[in-house]
Amino acid sequence: MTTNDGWDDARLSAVFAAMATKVEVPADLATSTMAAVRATATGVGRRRSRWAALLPAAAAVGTVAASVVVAVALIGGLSPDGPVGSVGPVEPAGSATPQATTPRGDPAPAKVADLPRLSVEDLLARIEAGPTADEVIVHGWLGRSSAIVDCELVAEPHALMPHCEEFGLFLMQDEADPDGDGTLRGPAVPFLIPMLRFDAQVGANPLPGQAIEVLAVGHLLDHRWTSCPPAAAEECRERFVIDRVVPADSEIAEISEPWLHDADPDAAAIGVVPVIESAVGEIEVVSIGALPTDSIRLIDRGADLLIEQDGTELVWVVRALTAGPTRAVATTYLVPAAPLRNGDALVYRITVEGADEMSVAVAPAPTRVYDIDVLSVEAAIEIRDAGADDREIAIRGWFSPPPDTFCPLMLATSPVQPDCRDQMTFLVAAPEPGGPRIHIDLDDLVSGWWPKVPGNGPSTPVEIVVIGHFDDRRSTFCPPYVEPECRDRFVVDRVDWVHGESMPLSVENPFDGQTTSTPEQVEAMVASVAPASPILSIVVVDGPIGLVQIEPELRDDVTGLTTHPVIWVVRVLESEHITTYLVIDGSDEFQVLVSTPSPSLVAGGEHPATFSFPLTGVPDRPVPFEVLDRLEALEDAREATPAEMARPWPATNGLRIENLAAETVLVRWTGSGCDRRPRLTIAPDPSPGGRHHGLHLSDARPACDAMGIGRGIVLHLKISFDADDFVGTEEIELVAP
Amino acid sequence: VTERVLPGGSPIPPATDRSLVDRARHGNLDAFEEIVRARMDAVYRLAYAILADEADARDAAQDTFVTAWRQIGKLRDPERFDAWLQRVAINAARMTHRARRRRGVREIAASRVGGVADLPATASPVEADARALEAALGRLSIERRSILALHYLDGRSLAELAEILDIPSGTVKSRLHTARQALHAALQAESTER
Repeated sequence: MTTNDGWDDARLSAVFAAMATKVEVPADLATSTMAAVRATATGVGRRRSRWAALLPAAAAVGTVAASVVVAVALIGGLSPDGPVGSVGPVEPAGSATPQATTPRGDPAPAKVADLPRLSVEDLLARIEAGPTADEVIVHGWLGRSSAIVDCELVAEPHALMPHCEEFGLFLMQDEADPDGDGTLRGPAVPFLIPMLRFDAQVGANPLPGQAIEVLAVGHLLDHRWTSCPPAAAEECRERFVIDRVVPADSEIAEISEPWLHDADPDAAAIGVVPVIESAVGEIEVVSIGALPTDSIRLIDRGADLLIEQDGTELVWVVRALTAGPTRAVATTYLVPAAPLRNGDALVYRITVEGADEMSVAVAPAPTRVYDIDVLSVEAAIEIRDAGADDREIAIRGWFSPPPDTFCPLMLATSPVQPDCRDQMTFLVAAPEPGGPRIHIDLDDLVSGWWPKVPGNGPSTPVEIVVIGHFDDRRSTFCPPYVEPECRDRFVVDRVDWVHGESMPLSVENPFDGQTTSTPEQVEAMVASVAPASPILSIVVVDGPIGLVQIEPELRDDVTGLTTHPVIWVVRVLESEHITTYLVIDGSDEFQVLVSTPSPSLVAGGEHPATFSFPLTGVPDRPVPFEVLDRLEALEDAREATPAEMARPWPATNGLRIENLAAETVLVRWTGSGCDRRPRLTIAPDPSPGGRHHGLHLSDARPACDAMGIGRGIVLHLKISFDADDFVGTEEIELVAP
Repeated sequence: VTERVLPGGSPIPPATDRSLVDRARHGNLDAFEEIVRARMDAVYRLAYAILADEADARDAAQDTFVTAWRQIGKLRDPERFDAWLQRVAINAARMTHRARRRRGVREIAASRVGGVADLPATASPVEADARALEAALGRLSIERRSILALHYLDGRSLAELAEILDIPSGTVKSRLHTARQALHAALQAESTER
């Protein structure tokens, strides 16, 4: 048997090597790989995309006779005599090609995924019938000729007229050699020459002599045709302008993922879409990317003159569909990055008449989230310094990631124990140096919204609204000398809003693809027992290590949670506090973490909650209460009546259990104004060597100094039972303030 | 020239010849074929260490070189070809894993028919370790398997891992640490269950 002992680096390396060398590399792999590479290089013999069958338009793709050459709008440069190629037989307009539907007054923009899908032949038929500006998805092969052509330098080429250097790029009906028969007549299948500038090329850019199967989203009748030279007007009208092109086996959703010009790979598209939507209403993004201001001229001559920012600053270029009668026609919006960062966003809409400016402000930060007032950093500091409990509060402030610095290894005993990077992670009151600030803890939350940290300086702060708490219960696991620091950290449970944009639920799942449960299933399970309680975040961890790391109180767990390979940790907002649900992956069993060593099983599995009803206690603060009968000994349960509560009670605090009848037991205890979801579990004694059946009373709440509230329930058992036989565990004692 | 070796004593393959890379970048297929033949073993074994499946490793290795051929023109620094190729390989392994999951298909390689139970009882300690390691890796995410394989199989340093994975070195350090902890836990679990 192999043990865990002694797995040092040398042994791991040796065993990795042994594991890898015990498999033989297939002898023909290099040869078959080169065959695939050669096929890619020549565009011949490539395996077909497995998605091809899913494309409606692709079904119409057939073998085209090699002699048929369909060329549209071929330009000079290929031949001194001008365009080459002849218009071959194409289907007349009005064939089976699906048409974009543009119902008047439709309240929402068309969805990219629902756009008509055409083959290249379909698109050629559309051109013949008279081009329209609707967005379409064209399935075809993007090939680049390897021909070398002498080009005359054109200083200011029109955006719709390809540069000579760009010649040789074909959108082909089917896979074929882009070099054709070598006579510079183009491919031997129907094709057209699309407009594909660098702003659309990310993701599918064939090398010379190659062809790539693609989905190209684009349009004909681009509005810029009106500024083309008269002699080229028809050519410009018929130019297929590709807004975004992706490999054919990509998900269609990837088309609208932000891309970036090489100029600044560190930018993030935070807030771009919201500012456009604040100006024009809901949009469906066809493509979104960023270019330096100096390069905008290549997209729209003149637009660069409107944009007053440094030429090297980025401008976001968004092609988007909007609601209304032209909902399938995309519009170009430009959003300069510098004003956007400063909270004074500008949006330019590019139209036939030119660029018009729409001054918009970033949507203001919310003032209330989940029924919690959003506080300033200064107000949060006041609360913290006044001795905050772990009640959830919302704070608005500015965040920039800590610098990427080396931190010496620290043996943390609590997940809220700050390391050196944490010491530099703040939420500040204003996007300026100095000023009030609090340390925040963003661990276990998705960080995709973080501003990028440039290599040569600090990043630009971003305005955010976060929900979280001071005085995290896990602070008790910090070493005593840093415990105050741990308690003063603001542990974020949800990033709710970032620079005008509401954030989705954070699901941090390093096991993505390996979990049995899905986030949706986990959310539904938690919602089934806490329907009115919003989930703030989810993190997936492994039981043996990850769970103990983020929930150190489970270190001596006796419930077996830490033996499960994957646990979903769900942070839920309940009565202004966080309750943590621990869901075992692949099961319908989950437990609630309370401030005691043993989570209690509350639902799912074989033991769903048996009874639930509100406990009134004081009239204005009823709390939901659940009884879980894991021994199946219970007939009924109800809240104790005032008369029963008034019975003598020798103790002033703690717990009192007594028989009202042989099969009826009255349980009373001292609750408090901080009670949130008390639960009573009748279960085997979980203590090591436990021999008794126990009564566990628990509540996911911190220690609370509020006035005690008498609470009581009556249990009707199926069997006679002496109250003295109940064994209360320590959990009961924790209930008493 | 001192030969680099892994902690376990295995030699690290020498870097790919710069002139080959340059010729391949300019479209020379013969040069690229030389690279394929020189690097195929390393790429295949890396893919296998991540995917633990011969059919998947074969697909990933092939996709690695097809992608590399398509993209090599964009390679800015030929000196970093090997790191770049490993990044391509890691991505290919991820894509293969994702596609396999999407299709819900599991192929059984011929060499595995018969199963672990049929392995000779007299397997050497290293073979037994390798079986335990393979099973333990199966419990980890693809990202953790990738970083562990790059570090222990290919002997990549933290700085090299940062370059290959395109993440800060501090992140590499914490991810490697976490991956090792997870691997140890998985090995422990394997040991307990046997």
